[in-house]
Amino acid sequence: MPLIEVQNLRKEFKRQKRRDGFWPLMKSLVYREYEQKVAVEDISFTIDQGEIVGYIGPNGAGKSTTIKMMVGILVPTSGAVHVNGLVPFENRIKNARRIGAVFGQKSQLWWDTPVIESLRLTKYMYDIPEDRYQQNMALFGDILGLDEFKNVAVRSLSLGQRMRADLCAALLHDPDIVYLDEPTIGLDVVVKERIREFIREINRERGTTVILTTHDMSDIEKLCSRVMVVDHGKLMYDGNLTTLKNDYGNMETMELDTEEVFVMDDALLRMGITSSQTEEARTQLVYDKKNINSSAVIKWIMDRYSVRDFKVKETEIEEIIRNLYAGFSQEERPRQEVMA
Amino acid sequence: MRIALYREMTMNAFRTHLAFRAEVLLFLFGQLFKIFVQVYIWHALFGDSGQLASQAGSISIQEMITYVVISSVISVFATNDVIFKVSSKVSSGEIAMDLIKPMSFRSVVFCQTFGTNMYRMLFELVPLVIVSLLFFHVQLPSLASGIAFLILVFNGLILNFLITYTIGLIAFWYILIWQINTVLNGLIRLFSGAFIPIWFFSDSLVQFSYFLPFRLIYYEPISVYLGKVTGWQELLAIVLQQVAWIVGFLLLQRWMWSKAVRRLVAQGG
Ligand SMILES: Nc1ncnc2c1ncn2[C@@H]1O[C@H](COP(=O)(O)OP(=O)(O)O)[C@@H](O)[C@H]1O
Ligand SMILES: [Mg+2]
Repeated sequence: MPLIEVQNLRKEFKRQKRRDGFWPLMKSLVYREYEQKVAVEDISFTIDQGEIVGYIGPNGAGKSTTIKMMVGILVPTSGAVHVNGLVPFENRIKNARRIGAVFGQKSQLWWDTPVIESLRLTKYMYDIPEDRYQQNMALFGDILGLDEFKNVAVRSLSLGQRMRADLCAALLHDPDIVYLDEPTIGLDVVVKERIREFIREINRERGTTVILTTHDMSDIEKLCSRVMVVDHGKLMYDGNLTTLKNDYGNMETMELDTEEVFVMDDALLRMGITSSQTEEARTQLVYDKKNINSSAVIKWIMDRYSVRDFKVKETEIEEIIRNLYAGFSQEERPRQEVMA
Repeated sequence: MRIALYREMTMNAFRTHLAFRAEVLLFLFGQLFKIFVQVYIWHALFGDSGQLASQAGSISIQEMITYVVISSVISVFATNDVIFKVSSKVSSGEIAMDLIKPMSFRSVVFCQTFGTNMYRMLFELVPLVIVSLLFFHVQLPSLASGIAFLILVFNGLILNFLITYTIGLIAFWYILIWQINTVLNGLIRLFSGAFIPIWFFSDSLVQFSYFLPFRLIYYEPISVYLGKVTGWQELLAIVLQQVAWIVGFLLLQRWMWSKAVRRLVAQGG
């Protein structure tokens, strides 16, 4: 049985309509008009023990809403979530004992309490045996570098330090699953790297299942074997990263510096170049590497221009996802075909 | 069953206050000032005779001063920020962080309040009592009255916590809870006998106060302290009323909490 089962999950929010102007405002005092916002629409997936799943999508896509329903602090409008066979919002406390969660924007630590004391409270909260607590503190403290700020009150921590402390707190009780909502948002590269290493280590050593949302693609590339792409509340892609790259990432970019001003030509389009962009001396040509004879392209260009510099780049994951979004906002989102 | 957790949470609140100890002198000064003003006013009202007729028979100025001091002592504990705490957790969305903890929200708030009270006992109550004993002629109770008083105060504080916590839960529906808090404070101030003993109330106000729980927090325990209530039946009646209100509020807050959580998890904070 999968660890997490999500079936036809849907969440609508009722929002009070905001109105401008005096009379509309007066009217809204008397009766309230609501508008519906579908934040998550018909999402289904299963997650097995030990996976690291990256849940990505632009702002407002519905990532946090999905996570909150899995954690049990939000009730689905329809559909079902089962974690360890339990319905999280019906068994909130029981579920809470077996999971860890970090919400990038908020801290679960005691604001006025030094980090080390806050973590000790966590020990009592989850009934962690003393030796296990010591063991975990030694390991986590080391990877996350907690020593440098362990006696500082949580309220005075920097964002990166707070995130590290929160991660430690979320994992001290050896949860089966840890949900991380934007764990790297707003952090510098060094801290990001530290956090990624921690997540990898926990997953490897403890077999902890990790579900993380992010809009930083390098998080996904460095951590996740599986990626779920969500946009406008709908699941656009669910599969492994390599397949995503193979299916949607065959695009390559050729970058040229030319003496003469480059002018796009129909001949190049016929050879398979799909788009071009020229900015002063630099030109970028994008093409699908499966449908192109690149040596013919290069020869064609060499014959006509004096090329000072020349580079070929594989498309970055950002670009692939962007293509995915763009592709689906035009057509009527053929989700089934994209599912891996 | 989770004594260790509650102990640690309480101690943590206690230590947090310890770290911000600067306000102690300010608090003490404020309390003493309030007592002075009240004592002065009562002196003026009592006049030269030092006696005043009331619902509970003749009251001496000595008893009245004792009343004022004991009322201040109780208020050290009864003044809490539970309503503010609950409503700010709801409006900031911090409540979600409490919901992912394997512990009831009520216990989280209770431990914090209890820790605060422990701190106040040491750093606010003790100095207040010492200074009051030096400056004012405070009467001491008989042993029996003293013990009964302690029991009633303890129950009263539990009741006080439950009342404020229950009111605080209104924040889940109505964020602008300050107005409610103001009304509540007014009601408590008047009908608990915190400032004016119910002895001096008109008949209809006395009647009305009997329908409210607040007098069980201040007035009744102080009356017992002063030896105005002595019969064990009367004492028992007060305790039973306290217990009944406590049970009532326990049920009410449980019902409200389940509604509140259902509302919260449907709306997402
Ligand atoms: N409590 C709420 N009430 C009303 N609308 C909400 C609420 N929470 C989220 N939404 C809306 O649902 C959509 C998805 O939000 P969210 O899940 O937070 O997106 P993400 O985490 O992917 O950025 C957004 O349009 C957001 O405005
Ligand atoms: Mg989000």
